Amino acid sequence: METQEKLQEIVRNIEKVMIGKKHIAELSVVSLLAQGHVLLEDVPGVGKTMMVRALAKSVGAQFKRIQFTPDLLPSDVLGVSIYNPKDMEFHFRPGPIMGNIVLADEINRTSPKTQAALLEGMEEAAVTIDGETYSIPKPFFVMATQNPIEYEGTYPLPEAQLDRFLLKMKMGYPSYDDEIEVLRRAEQGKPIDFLSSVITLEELITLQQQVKDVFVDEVVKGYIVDLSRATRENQYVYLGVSPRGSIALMKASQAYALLRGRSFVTPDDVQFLAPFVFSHRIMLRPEARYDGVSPEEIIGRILINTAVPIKRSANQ
Amino acid sequence: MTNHPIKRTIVLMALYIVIFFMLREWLLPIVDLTNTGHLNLFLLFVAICLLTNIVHLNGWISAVIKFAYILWFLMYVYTGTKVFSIESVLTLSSDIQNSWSALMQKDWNGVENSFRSILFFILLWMTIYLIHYWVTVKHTIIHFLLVTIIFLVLLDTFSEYNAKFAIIRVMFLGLLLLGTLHANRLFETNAVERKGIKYIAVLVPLAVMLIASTVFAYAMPKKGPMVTLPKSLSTLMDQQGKGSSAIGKIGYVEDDKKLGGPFKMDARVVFNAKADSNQYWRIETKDIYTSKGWERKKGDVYVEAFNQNENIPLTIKPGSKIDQTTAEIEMEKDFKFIMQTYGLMNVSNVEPGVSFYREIDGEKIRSLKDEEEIALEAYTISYSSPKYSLKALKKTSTKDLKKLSKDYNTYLQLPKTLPKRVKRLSKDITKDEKSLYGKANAIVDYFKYNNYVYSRDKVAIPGKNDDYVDQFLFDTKMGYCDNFSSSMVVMLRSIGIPARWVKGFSEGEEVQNVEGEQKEFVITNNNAHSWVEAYLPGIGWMSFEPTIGFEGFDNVLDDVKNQQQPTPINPKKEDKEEKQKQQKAEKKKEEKTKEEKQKQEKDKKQAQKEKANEPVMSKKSTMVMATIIGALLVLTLILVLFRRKWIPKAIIALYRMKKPENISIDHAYHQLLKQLDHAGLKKGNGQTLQDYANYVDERLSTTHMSKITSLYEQRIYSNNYTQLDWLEIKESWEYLINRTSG
Repeated sequence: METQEKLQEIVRNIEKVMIGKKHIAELSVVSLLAQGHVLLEDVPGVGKTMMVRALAKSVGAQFKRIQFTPDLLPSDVLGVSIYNPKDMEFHFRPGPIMGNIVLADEINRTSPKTQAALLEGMEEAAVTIDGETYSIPKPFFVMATQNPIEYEGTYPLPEAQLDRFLLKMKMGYPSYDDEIEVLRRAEQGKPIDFLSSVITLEELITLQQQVKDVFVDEVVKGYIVDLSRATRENQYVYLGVSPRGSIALMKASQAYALLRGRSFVTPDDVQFLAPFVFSHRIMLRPEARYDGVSPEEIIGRILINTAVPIKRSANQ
Repeated sequence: MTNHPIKRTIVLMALYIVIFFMLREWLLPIVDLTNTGHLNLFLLFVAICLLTNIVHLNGWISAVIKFAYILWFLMYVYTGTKVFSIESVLTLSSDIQNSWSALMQKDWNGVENSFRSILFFILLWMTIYLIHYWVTVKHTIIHFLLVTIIFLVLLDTFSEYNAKFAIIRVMFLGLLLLGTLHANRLFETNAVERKGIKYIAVLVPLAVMLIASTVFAYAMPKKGPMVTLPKSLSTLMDQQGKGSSAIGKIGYVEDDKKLGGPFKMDARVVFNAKADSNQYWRIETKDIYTSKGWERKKGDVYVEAFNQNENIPLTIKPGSKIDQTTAEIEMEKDFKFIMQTYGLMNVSNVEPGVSFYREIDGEKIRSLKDEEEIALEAYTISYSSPKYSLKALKKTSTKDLKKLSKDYNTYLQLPKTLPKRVKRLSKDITKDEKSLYGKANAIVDYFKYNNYVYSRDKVAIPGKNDDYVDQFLFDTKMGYCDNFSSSMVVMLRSIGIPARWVKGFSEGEEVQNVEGEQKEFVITNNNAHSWVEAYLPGIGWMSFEPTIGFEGFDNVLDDVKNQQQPTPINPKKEDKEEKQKQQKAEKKKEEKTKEEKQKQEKDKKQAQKEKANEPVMSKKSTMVMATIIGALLVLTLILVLFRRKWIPKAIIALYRMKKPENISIDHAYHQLLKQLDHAGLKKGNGQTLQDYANYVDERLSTTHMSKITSLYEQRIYSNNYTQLDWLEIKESWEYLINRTSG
């Protein structure tokens, strides 16, 4: 299948740079296809930037990077109108958010005000400055990274805003063999420089349209809803997954199905994505922390205990 | 398992003791209902089997021991000779050979008892093996307990065996077993060290509760049966239960020591006869009633010799010379005696050198040549049927009986065990008749009008403590000629009229389109018959036909009709009541004569009907029944035990029979899921089909499941509803089912 080939090609492209991180590459592609944004949570130096750059290069997109610092202001992100004395007018100078693929590095280091500006831009795909609204060119994809919150001097993102990210994932350290491979490649120079684009931006937009055509059967929708509801009923969960979360899971699943070359979503897609879609959308009770239960574990348990539909829906 | 083999053996032994008693509950009713006997020897076999299992004896050695025991049992019980002598081995082997050939020919009745015992032993053996498997491998005995209870309940319901307390005993033992095995299983799965104290901690409360509830159960009043069986079924079962294992074959046999039991029809021709009219063909009479059947008088047999054409004097004299005629008899069977008609005078037309002798007791006329008994092929008999004057018959009275000579005491013999009610009944039904002839006819009529039924197959065999006649008269009221004739003889004797039991053949069937004056009759084994002769003082011996459905003898000359028809017999001294009674009785009699004819016809029809039904209603003897029930039970058990093996095969066969376009793929797929689940490949609730398929394929090292599953997934999750072709997945589907059922 042509579409699948292209998408796999993107994944392979990223893999050339990122050793042993296929599922991260895939998830990024899924998020890109589903027009969602990704939150990468990890320590510095595991290749987050490399990852995003490789993705941007593969789709021939404009890559922008915002390094968040405590003193960064919203205008540093969104852009600013500057008065030009020659023509006596204000000219808008777009900020780094006006790119196709934006890496928002260490988003939790900046003040909540700046964070809010970014997140709003992500949600609306447009920015409003001095009463003028500027839409962000499509495709628009933000990959935000955040240090684990135990680090000093950070402003944790509010839960409500985490909802804006389609997926949250962790990069993790490479395995022993992979790391050796990383070293070997580093000897030969930067592999990122040799990457070429696989598809054009126009093609990417078409693919994004195709995602919407991926079929989701009633039983699978039911399964997604079952999972969401299960998070709301879980004893450790203070705030469960919202209907927006259910939508996110469905969209991501559609994109994943497309990546897998299927024209319909199966429960396997849902199961694969559920931890990445749900884990940042639930708030745990304090008991969970005492019992040492993480959101991922809770979602894992829910997946085990929720019945997978294996029969056709009755109305077909 | 455990480190203490001795301890384990002790536990096992305790279990097996309980099992032994449960098996005893199986054997008890079988032995009781089938007259099998030797309960202890069977129990010993059970004990041996269990013991070899406990001590883990090598399979071959234990098999040899068991075989030796079976062999010993067979010789000890069946051959009646010295055990393990050549003679006994020979008897046994011929028994087995006969039985085997009978079995092959589906002649179930031809199977010898010894062979049945072998089968029964094998059944026991298998059962015990099964139990052993359950106890040691599966650690459960619930199947056995269930089957035992079902067995007892069935017996309790359908037979005369009373399992009221047996069920309580079995429940007690079964629950004890279940509890112990459950504890055992728990210890094993949780790897608990088996200490005696732990067993006690588990078993003591269990035992206490069981004992308490059992005592309660014993003490509680038992409810009556909730279902009452239709009568026919229960009588049938009773007969099955009481009867011995043999089904008789109709025909003439000399031995009548044990009467009763159903009869098989046999239409083989015995002889053809040409005669003026239909005749009863008499062979012999018997005198001693033993409460089970008839015997000859013991001691020497006195005979009288005659040549052909020489008059043979019998106790029943020929009629007038004018009526003298002949009958030609052509034998098909080798009978070394003469078929007599009533009023027989002599035998002629036989090859020279043949002579005859008549046995004084029994009146059998045997044919003889060169001092050897010989079967004649054809002969002619001269006879003149005797006629009795009704006038004279009506004059016979009980007073004359007192003057009888002691010679007739033989014909008044009755067993001491004869129940008193037989005599009471006889007196009761004959008391209204003054003449002896009238009394005899009253008995004949009694059968006709009191719901006695002629039947050849639903006939009981008297049990150990039953009297043949008593059983027929009061309990079963169902039987054939032997029942009726024996009963009449006994009843006549009980009121002091000498009587004897006669055997021979009834008229036979008249053959159509025969030219000439004489008619031809074909007499088959089906015509074998028995009837009654009574001695009326002043008249002599006279024949009676008590069996309903038979026409009887036309031997009475009605010489009183004209004079006495309307007048009462004894009008003078009777008081009014008596008179009325008599009139009533007479009226009734008139009505009855009408009914009589109808009834006779009916009976005849019924008899014919039964003839027609005969092969369908083939009666099974109890041993066969028991074997079949046992075999069915074992079969059911095997089916249940091996359901994992045969059900999948059946499913595949079922799907093959369907047309591919009619097969629901969803259904097929879920059938497969079920089968895989049974085969131990459990699918988690939250496991996706693809996941599961990968797991299955990995376990079975195939790719079939993934193949089917992706096709099926397309079917249920996509909007692409193109009909999936069954043939596409058939092969993989069958492969997976076969693979997991083997």
